[in-house]
Amino acid sequence: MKTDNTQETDSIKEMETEILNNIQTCINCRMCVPMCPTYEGWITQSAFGRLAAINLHLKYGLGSIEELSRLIFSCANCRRCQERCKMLSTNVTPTDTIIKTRQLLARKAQEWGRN
Amino acid sequence: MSENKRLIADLISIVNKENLSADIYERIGYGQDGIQPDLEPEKIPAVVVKPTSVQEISEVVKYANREKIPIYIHGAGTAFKGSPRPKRPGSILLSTQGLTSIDMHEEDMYFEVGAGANQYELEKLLLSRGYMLPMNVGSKYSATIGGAVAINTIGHMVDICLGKLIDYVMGVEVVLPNGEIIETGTRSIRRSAGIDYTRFFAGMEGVFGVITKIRMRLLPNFKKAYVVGFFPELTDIAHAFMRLYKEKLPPPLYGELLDKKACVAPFRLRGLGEPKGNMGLAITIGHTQEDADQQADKIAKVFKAEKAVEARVVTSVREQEDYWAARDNILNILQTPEGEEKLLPMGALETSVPLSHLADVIEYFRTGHSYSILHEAKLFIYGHVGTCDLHGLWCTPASWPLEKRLRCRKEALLLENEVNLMWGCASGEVGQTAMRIPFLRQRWGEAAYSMLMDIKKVIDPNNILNPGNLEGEGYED
Repeated sequence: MKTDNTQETDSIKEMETEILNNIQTCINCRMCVPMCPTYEGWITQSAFGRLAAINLHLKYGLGSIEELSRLIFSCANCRRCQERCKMLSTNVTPTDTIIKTRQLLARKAQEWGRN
Repeated sequence: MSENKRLIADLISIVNKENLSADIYERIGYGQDGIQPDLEPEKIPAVVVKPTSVQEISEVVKYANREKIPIYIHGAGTAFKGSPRPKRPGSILLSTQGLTSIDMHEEDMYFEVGAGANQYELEKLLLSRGYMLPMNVGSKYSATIGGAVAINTIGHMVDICLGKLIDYVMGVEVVLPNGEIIETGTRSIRRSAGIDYTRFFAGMEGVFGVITKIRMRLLPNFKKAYVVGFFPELTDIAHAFMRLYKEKLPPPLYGELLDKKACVAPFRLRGLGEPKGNMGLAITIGHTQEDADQQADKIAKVFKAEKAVEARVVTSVREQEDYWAARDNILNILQTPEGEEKLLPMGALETSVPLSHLADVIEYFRTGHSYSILHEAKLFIYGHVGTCDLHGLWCTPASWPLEKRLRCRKEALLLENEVNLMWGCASGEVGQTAMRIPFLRQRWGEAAYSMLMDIKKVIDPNNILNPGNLEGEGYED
């Protein structure tokens, strides 16, 4: 029987897999960059930049979780990138992935609090 | 002080602090190019700089040349044959996106534009003044004009209609690898006969200098007419375009082809219903609407004569936009219905072929080759048939192991080489360096390649600009 902690870890892993699988379908076309309302000239101020950061953070542990959190929570959630990606590109649902990453980070924080 | 800290401190003394980032996530975002797999962590650039003047770029390049630090030049980094991807560790990623000025000189029929100007924004401005941008690439919403000039691409347009981008580039401002700033070309619509330094840079993929400003001829906009046809066989479309040129009809601005499979998702997205066959699409231009319409009528007749089940001039603006968008936003073909497994675009082939062999090449993509993984993957064929530029896109389920997916990409590249060698051609749209270097060496021979490398050594003795791209680094096997 799984303990609560093991279930929590499984759930975190599942979330990570789901997020990475979704990012994998992004073909880095950057159509979502210039139209992002938070974009002021730096790539992490766009959906593409946020997804690229999440991707290498989850795979290689690059960058700090605090900084990643700042990026993820700076998304305005307006879904313009999502619409743009659907009409012009491969429909990777970037906003949903960013929201899922917020949930992941919250879940991880919860787990750390417990430990 | 660590080496990286010193690099950053030195660069801050050249560009404003606000125009530099050593943040790991910025470096990842800028370093990743338009293809999979992920950028290797050790190749992530050490710093990203976005100078706002040619003088700042000059100082950055002088510094890098002195310290022998690799520089990777970026417009938007959307190219997908490996050229924007950093290949050596500890590099400076030099973005030209801080150079966005646009100066119109309508009395002399040209404009000057900063290399970092966004193509879509530039096009909007030109259209508002009654001009057009003589190019259209799929990534125009994010790509820069400097990137397009660096590879001399017009994207989807037909070369023999309006010419290649270099035909409009009257001159460029460039920072050489030693940091010197030079200007090439002319301010007259009469172009230089004989030596024109512009040609050292336009189309040379940033290996000889950093293009910072471009002077381009203004081209008054044309009237357009749209023709769509649906054909039972994809090769019928090839025959239609072969016939169109044989009959000496004026080349259209666009001549596009999309196989029936590839039509499904974009049509569904735009409510166009089930495709009635493989789609051929042409956009004609004229100085008057009557002229454009007459050409469109003739093309519709050619389509019908070549077995189209339906061929007509499209007059509804909404329909024109929808059919064009279905082809122009080609990445839509990767969208699968809810519940179906996602497809990944692993093998993208782009080959320009002789007019008389258009139909043969389509058959070769489908059945003529012997690459086993390509036969297993799902193939979409589309492209700019009017300019004899065809694309094959082999997609794999996302669940395939990465190694197998990368093999698919490799096979597509080998097939691209094979087709271009077999019919004596080259790719016409997305550059020749990085992963295409093995082809470049085979196609034009070692003597030509040595000449190119010797010139590079003379112009850039420390090999600081886009190092590894001419060597094909990372794409050897």
